[in-house]
Amino acid sequence: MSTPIRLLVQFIVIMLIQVFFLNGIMIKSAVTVLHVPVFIPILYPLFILLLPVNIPHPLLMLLGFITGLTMDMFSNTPGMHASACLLIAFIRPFVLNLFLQQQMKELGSTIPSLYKLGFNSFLMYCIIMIVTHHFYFYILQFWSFKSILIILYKTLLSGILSIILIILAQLLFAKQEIKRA
Amino acid sequence: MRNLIVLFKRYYNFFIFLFLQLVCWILVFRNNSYQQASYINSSRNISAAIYDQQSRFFGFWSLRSTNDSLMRENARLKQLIGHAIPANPLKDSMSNRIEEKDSMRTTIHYTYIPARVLNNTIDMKFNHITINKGSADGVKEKMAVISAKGIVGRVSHVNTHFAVISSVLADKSRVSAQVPDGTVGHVLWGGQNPEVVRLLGIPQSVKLKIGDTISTTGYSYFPEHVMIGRIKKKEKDSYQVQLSTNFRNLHYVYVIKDMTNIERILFEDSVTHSENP
Repeated sequence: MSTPIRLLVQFIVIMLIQVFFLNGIMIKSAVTVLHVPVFIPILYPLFILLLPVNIPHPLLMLLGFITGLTMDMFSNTPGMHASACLLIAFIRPFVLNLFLQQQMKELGSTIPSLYKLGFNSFLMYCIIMIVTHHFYFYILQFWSFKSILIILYKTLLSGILSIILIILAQLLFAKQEIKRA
Repeated sequence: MRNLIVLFKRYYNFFIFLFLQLVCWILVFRNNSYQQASYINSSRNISAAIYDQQSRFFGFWSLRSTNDSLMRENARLKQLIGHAIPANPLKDSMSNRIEEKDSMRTTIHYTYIPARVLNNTIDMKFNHITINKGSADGVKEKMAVISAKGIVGRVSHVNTHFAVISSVLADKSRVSAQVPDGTVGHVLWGGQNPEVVRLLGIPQSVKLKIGDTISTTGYSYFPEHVMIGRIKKKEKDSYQVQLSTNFRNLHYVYVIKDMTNIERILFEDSVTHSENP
């Protein structure tokens, strides 16, 4: 499959999983006992994480914007997901530079997946991107300094869940890549 | 000028980022207030149609609990037939309600528009619910929405076949409420727990017990005597109220068609606006 079609399929699959399954799950937690806030699992930044390394920066940001906007359409949060997703699309090349051994240009259209980066690097890459995304998203959503503790708490819990989901998704998809190689 | 162009060429990525981010911020800050119009919401046709399919598919998974609640609702309705709700004849004497007058009481029959919930959030600061009825079915903006168990919210955006409801679970959304002896206060949502609201404005002299029912007054957009919840705990100057509506498990709601109420709200708004321009 050529890269654009593969990306389109990837986009649709990830958004379908997000919208159909994850948006419907409100984590039923010990709300009254531990004061755990309610949140939905967020998986869709995975699409931005898995774009090829050599994608032009403006295109990357545009894709981030569109991905976020799609998510916004389904969750009644005009602009919030778009803004957060755009932010991680913007910082992605700088973050990737920390973890890639070779120069960006030499790598071509490699996908920065779990197997390409190695587990530790991929985990760090995930943590930086996801925490940035969630933190910024919840700041935009609450928009008051008074709720800084809730923002941090929600970022932590939701972030951990997202990272687990992303790693699981990687373990599932990356296996197919090994078979092909 | 040349320097400016050089600067732009060098950092054009950053400028693109700033531009797109600006678009996002405009979207966020223009549309994120509680009742204002929004361009991107789930009553838009594409996303609403997809949600429609989704709820059709996943509706099967919750058939049992939905059936249970429908049965209970039916039982409640059967019980209600013939029972008059005490009403204020001065306030409720407009022509498009069907009224049955007996010697003591007036019975009001509101028209209910049943709707299926397509999408529902409880994790946001302002929560919204998408339903599968729109202007074609007679839904209009600002109509009150209730469930079989209690209050839900009010209609905020209407499309031809879909509508978005601003849920009661919205930051600083006030609903006028009364306790069993008729004292009027209001309930506010705290912002975190989707099961609890706070009851304020009840004087200390009124003694309330745990388990007392709190219902709506006719002052806000809801009709009178719709259940809000039961008192759960007393705090220093307020009460915690357990909502009777389970927002985690909301599948069917009723939009209340009561045009006089909307007329009253619009009139009140116009009066207060002209007083404080």
